[in-house]
Amino acid sequence: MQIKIDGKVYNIQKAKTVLEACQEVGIEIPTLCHHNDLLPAEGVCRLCLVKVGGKNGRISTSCNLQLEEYMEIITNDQEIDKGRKYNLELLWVDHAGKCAKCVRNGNCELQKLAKKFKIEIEDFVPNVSKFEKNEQLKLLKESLKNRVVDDANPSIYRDNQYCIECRRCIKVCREIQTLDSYGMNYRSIKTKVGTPHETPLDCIFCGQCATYCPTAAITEKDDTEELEKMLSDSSRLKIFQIAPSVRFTLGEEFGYEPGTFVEGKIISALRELGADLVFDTAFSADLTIVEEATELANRILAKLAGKSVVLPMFTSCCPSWVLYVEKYWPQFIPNLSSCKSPQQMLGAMIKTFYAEKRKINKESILSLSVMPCTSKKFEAKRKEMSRDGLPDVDLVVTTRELARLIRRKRIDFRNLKDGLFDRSLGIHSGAGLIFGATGGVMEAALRTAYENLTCEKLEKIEFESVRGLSGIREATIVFPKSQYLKSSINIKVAVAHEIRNAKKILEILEKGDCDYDFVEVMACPGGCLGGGGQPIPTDNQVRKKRMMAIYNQDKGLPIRKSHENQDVIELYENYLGEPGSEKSEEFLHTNYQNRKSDLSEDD
Amino acid sequence: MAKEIKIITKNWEIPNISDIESYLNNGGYLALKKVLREMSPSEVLSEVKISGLNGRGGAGFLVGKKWELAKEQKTKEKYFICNLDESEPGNFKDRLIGERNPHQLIEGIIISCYAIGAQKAFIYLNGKFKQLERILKIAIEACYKEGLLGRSIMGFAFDLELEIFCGAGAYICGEESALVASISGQRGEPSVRPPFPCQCGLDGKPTVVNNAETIANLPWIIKNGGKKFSLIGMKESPGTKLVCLDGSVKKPGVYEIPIGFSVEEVINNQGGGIKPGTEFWFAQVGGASGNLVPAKFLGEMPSYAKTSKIPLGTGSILVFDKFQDIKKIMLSWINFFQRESCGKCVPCREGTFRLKSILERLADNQIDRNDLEDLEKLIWTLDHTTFCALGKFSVNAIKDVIRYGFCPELASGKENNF
Repeated sequence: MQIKIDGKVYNIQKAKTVLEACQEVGIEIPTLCHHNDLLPAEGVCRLCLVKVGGKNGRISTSCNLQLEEYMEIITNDQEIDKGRKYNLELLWVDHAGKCAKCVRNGNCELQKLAKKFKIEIEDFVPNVSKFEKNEQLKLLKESLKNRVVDDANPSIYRDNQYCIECRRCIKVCREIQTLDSYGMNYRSIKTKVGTPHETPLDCIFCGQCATYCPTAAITEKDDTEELEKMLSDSSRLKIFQIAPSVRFTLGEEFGYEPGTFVEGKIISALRELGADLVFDTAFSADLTIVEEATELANRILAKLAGKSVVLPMFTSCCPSWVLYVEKYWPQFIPNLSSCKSPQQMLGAMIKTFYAEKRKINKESILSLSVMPCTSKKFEAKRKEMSRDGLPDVDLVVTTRELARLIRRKRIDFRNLKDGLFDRSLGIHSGAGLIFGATGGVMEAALRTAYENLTCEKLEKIEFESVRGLSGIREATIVFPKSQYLKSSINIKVAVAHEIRNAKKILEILEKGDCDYDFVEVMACPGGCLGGGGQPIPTDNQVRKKRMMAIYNQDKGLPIRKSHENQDVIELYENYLGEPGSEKSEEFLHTNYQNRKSDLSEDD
Repeated sequence: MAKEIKIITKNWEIPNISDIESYLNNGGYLALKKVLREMSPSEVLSEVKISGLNGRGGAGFLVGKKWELAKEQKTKEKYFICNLDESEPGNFKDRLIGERNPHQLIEGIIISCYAIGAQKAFIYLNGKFKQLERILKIAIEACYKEGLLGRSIMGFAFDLELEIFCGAGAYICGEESALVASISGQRGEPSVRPPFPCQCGLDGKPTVVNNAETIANLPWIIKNGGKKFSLIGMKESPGTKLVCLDGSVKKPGVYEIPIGFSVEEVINNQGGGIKPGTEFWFAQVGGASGNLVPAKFLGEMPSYAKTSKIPLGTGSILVFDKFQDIKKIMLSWINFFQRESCGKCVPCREGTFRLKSILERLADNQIDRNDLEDLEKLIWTLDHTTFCALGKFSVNAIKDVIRYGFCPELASGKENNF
């Protein structure tokens, strides 16, 4: 399509709206309500103003303006600048204005634009210090008086004094997660984003709203102060674990390109912060795979033997996905693998196996974890995840929180030497590492299940068909005849990320016309690498880079199958026995509960 | 003075005209019969196009054009909505149409549905009109009983269901896309146009939304022909207009007048002149969102034409005398728009609030130079950058106050260039 922007003629290929067209040709247009991952914005923030029809054309927003052939667009002149600036000023005076102590300071879209447009003075509002009478305070915006803080859940914190009502959180929750946790409440100046009837947030805590929020209105629940307190407790052994994807993303907080591998630096940073031991969640991911592949093999063998068995089996590593099934589709709870997630498996091993090995009691261990995920905070607090009243994981912080703490402690992250994981629970295979990407659990499980069931060495271990960023990937893998399999069988698998895609699969399953054997679901776009606790900004470009880095890292590793992980083998030999043993069942498996009653019937 | 022509108010004086018997005895539903017996939907449409009828909701969009857009859509199912959300301050004409002669409205609705091919229609009623709701309910029930609604209307192959939907009385829900959102259970907020509701509205189906006064014209147009209608009034704004006259006049009320009247004529002829002991200052045409008419423009004729100095809008005339406090008037306007802003876009949500606080300070005589600069900024922002027309309208009258120097503090001696 041919259009004219600022007097220059362009041929636009993909774009459908004027804003997208400008982005396509590299013209920057300020916006707060639009996000490239979401459907075109509805023109809420009024910052993406352009002129249509040349110099004397009309002023319009560009985000919701459909592209038409031979359009003439002006993206910058005095009037447009004026409109953008005035609207930004209006937002700015309404905003909390507490940048210095805000968690998004330096990474806030509103702040960046305010800087760019040189918004310093607080226009429109009389100077508070000049107020003589108390009544004059009523001139201050009413919404500041109606501040809403929602901190009733362990994962997500919402404070609407930072909110600019851009509605991205509403859109991401509706479009990507199909949950509609948020909506608009009230009207005119009292308009605010909120939950229905301002009840405490009751969702799956995936945290996508926090990563799409341009300001600090929705953030992860900040546990850094709690972490600091724990780290200064010299009477206890502080053991960290790091999720597979964190080592590919934390660097972004310190100026590295997305996907930069900073595993060694994180370990060193944690030791500087006061960690006694640093273990690897990718190790327990291998452990999860060994257990989960065994469970899958057992279910398949039972089916082949003609026993009634629940298939397909669902992965259970993603706590948001588990919550989604528990809250919305409890009829599918038997499909969930009973395996705990890697975080909880490692937590359990730290407080049992490792405590016994070191001959210390588990009360004197603090089990801490760094996760890409806000929902893990909830998972760690589930009552099934504690033993004798002690949680297996005492505290979870997200990638962003760890970066915040590293900055607060003035650790020079970029110049840290590379550290190494502690042994016993600290080495990983490539399979454990790719847990961080959507399709990774599936691929890792297939690598192990194939060898378990066929007793043959898997030659081509990359299952390309389950990789990528499309919503649902399906594959059929042929397992040849073996001592366990009387004839060759087809294993049909599906991988989904984002709840909207998972929902599709569940709807098909509900109808009964589906013969999957194994389904992997990750609630966040791209899997954990796009998790709700990951560095901001996260968009499709960033996710692709992170994903590529993860698969490249896997490729270069000598051990790429979970059951070949030496620490896993030793753990079974010395402690657990064999996969699916009584001890494994006790420590590594869990159960789920129907949480549908938490919700009112049919909304 | 133009010749006395009554289209809408013609039968208002007949006792019990809101009863179906009375309405039928006075030639009611004959236009509908004519439509169903003699005319194809396209013929009805072309008759309306010939009439040149403008929408009476304020914008004056050509009814024929809107219908045609909806008719062009290939979707089989279509909806028709009668907009009776009337909440523009100073307007009370639509409510009267419904209360005085409900069957005229219903007849118009059925004719419209036949023309565009809708089989389901709604009356979107301002939820505050409880009395009107009762009247319309009785009228609709009577129509179902008489076979004027439901299956095979009057024995012809045309079905129509008509339902009343009560909104909660938000001003913004009179805007057609917000109205459609409201009726489908969503938050009453305008949405991006295009697509217009007549292309993709309720349930994603083509939905025509017409103002009640517009619809009430239809039986007459069918009976007398579009040509005859087009000869009444002005060229680009044919027909008559219900004028809600109020303020400092001797006889306030609703008057039906052929378009082509000047504000002065209405004040003197219908209103009986300015209230004794007061002196005319200015008038406001079209409700709180309308423009101001100072004495020098009293002879201008408001119309729907784009070139018109005074847009007719909803057609109300509010007369202000020189004893009024302009600061209080401005405050009442902005209070209304601030309260009724849906909160969707930044300039309207935040801007009207800031504007209100400045005007409050003005009323308290506490305004300073900073405020004057901000005022100018806010008016420009609301005028140019809001999502829908509400934000733009909210400063229409205030702009005029400054333009005509009605408020000395704001005029500050110079011609402001808004």
